[in-house]
Amino acid sequence: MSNSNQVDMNDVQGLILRGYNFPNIRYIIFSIKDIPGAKKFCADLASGTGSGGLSITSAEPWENMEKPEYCLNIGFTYSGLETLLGSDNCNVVSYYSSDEVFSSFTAGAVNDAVAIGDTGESAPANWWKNGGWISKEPPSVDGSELHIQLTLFTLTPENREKYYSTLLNMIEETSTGSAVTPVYYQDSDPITVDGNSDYVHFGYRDSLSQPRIDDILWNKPKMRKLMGVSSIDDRPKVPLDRFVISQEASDYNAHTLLVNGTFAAFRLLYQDEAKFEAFIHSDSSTSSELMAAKMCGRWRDGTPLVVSPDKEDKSLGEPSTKNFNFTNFNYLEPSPNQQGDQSSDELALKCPYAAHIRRANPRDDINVAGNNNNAQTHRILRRASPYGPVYDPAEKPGIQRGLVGLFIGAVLDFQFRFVTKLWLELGGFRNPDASPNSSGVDPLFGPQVADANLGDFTFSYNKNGTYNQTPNLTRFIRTDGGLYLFLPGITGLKYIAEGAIPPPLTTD
Amino acid sequence: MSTPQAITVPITDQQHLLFLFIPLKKGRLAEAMEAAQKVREAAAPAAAPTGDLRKTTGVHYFTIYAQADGTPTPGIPVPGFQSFPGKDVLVVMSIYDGQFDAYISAFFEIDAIVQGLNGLMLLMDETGIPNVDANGKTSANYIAKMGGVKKNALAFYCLLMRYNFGDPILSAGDKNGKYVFGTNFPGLTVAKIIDNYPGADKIWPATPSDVSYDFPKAQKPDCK
Repeated sequence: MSNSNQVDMNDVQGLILRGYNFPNIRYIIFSIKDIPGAKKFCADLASGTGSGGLSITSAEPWENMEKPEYCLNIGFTYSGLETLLGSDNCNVVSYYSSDEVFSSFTAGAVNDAVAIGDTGESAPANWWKNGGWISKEPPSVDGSELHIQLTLFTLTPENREKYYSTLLNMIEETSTGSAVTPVYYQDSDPITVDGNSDYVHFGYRDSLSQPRIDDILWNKPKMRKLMGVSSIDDRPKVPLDRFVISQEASDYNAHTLLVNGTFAAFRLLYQDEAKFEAFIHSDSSTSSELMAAKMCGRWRDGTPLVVSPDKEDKSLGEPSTKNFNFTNFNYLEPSPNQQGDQSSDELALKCPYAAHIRRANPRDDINVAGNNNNAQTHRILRRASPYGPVYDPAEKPGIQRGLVGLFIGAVLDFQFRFVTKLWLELGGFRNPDASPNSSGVDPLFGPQVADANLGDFTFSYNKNGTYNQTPNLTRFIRTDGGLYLFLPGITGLKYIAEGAIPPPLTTD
Repeated sequence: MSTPQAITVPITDQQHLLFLFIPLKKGRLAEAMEAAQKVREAAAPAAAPTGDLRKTTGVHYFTIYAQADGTPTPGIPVPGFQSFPGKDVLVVMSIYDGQFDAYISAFFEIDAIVQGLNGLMLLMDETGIPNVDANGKTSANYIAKMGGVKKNALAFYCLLMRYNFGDPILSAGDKNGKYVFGTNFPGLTVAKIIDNYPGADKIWPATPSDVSYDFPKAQKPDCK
């Protein structure tokens, strides 16, 4: 894994290297109707010189460290890339890229659905049908008309409308209509609890532990000082080539078109809060808050269970991107600045192996499935945010809410697909594991309907030396849409806009 | 009779069979066996890696055997293993725990094994085999040319699967596979043995060089 060279910030899309923390977001999916018009749209977005002047936001530091009025980022499905580049060029990119890098992207999210647990109600046949679809034509079964995904980040709802309108006005009109048409969009706005606007549905405080990427400007000591970021960040650095595609990576090849880009899974995840609330209240021997904490690995205010196994710990301070008390912890050996409980949790007495955050990022845990004791290799950048209203127990059924956004990693097979398949959905997360159901599957997602392992329908955690087993664990999250995307570097975007690819790095 | 207790064996605890017939360039048997020996030695590192690599590779047993083109397997009166005409063959058999890709990728943690496997790519000959593209993305040629097995892990898994008689889906003790694969201990993984057998750290230490083993010879039946 390469860490040696500072990445060209001007060439990398901004959302890869930092969370913008903008409150009002619109996730839009476009279909290409006219290839020359689509290319012009991409060229204008790459250069920022088109009518309207919107441009893709790079990772370059903002002027005077002040947030701009909008940020905009772009990704392409394989279908979109093939439409703009042609099959021959795509085949060349594929040939010079490891299968891990390009194969699952080529196959697409629809074809990968079974492997990552999108079955039953979450199957692709049901995608895009629960609100947000704006095309007159119904969504196709294979999703092949979904070509481009844009994410517009703004500071106010008014600006979201304003810049969305500007964006649409940048699209060329042809004799048959717009060259590129929006077919779906989903807005995301903050969920505020007790004055804090960083909650997600199911009632958890969010965005507490994003990966710390090595060798980028934001993590240089001088920049961190300027930003007022504490130096007691214990998070292990994740190699840059896990998030920004590099031809110097030790474990994958990438065609030059992909350099400084990345891949992402776009996910539209409906959260069934009524079912979730019913489950956490279903065990008379466990309070609902404790159950919610054991399932997640954190108390709902963000306090990690390994730091404070019995209650929320307000002494950790207010969660923020500058307060690392919520992410300075390990499961076996305490991290240097870990607060609270310092004892090892090798037996998962404080935080169950089943818990969502332990499975999604095992930190220093060993003997987890397929990990080879290197969790950093599998980290995912989550640029996702809540949609829909806050749950009201008295509400009518059918209200849509959940999480929407991008799960980013340079290699889907090492990151999103690996974590989803092997750690969240498959079971057998860790060995040894003394729990009666080998810790089942991720409890926040819940078992798939067709899961043949009866133990997966139980949530177990160790309570005073014996395992408390709560039956009737069910699927709480339904996938309502999914795309595998390539998020090009700015140079890559310019090539795509020309329908061309750069020469490969040859080994001949 | 009462209904027997149903026990689910998690995927990561299942035992599987690897049974490879790898086509080799003719006349390179000695090099192939030398590479295999190096891989074997590298898999038993002089210094213990983080944790115990054997838990992640999950290998219970393995056999490696090289046979020249057109020759019968010695010592038995039937042909035994067969090479593809014009090529030698490397036969690899192993019992391993869990997922196929996790098992193979665990070996990538040791550079010497990666080098050995990359060397094997150069010794393979996939030309002329029906339905095999000798220069395709999962070919030994492609993998060797494009930086080796670690940079092309998925391609390497697919290459192995092409010559694997073993079925990574059929686990020991399971039914209705293409062969009968039995076990008296379903779900008994290498990791469980290491973690639970009394004195395992002394008998089978993570660093094998910490002990040496003598093997008094068992007796063959006295067949006239």
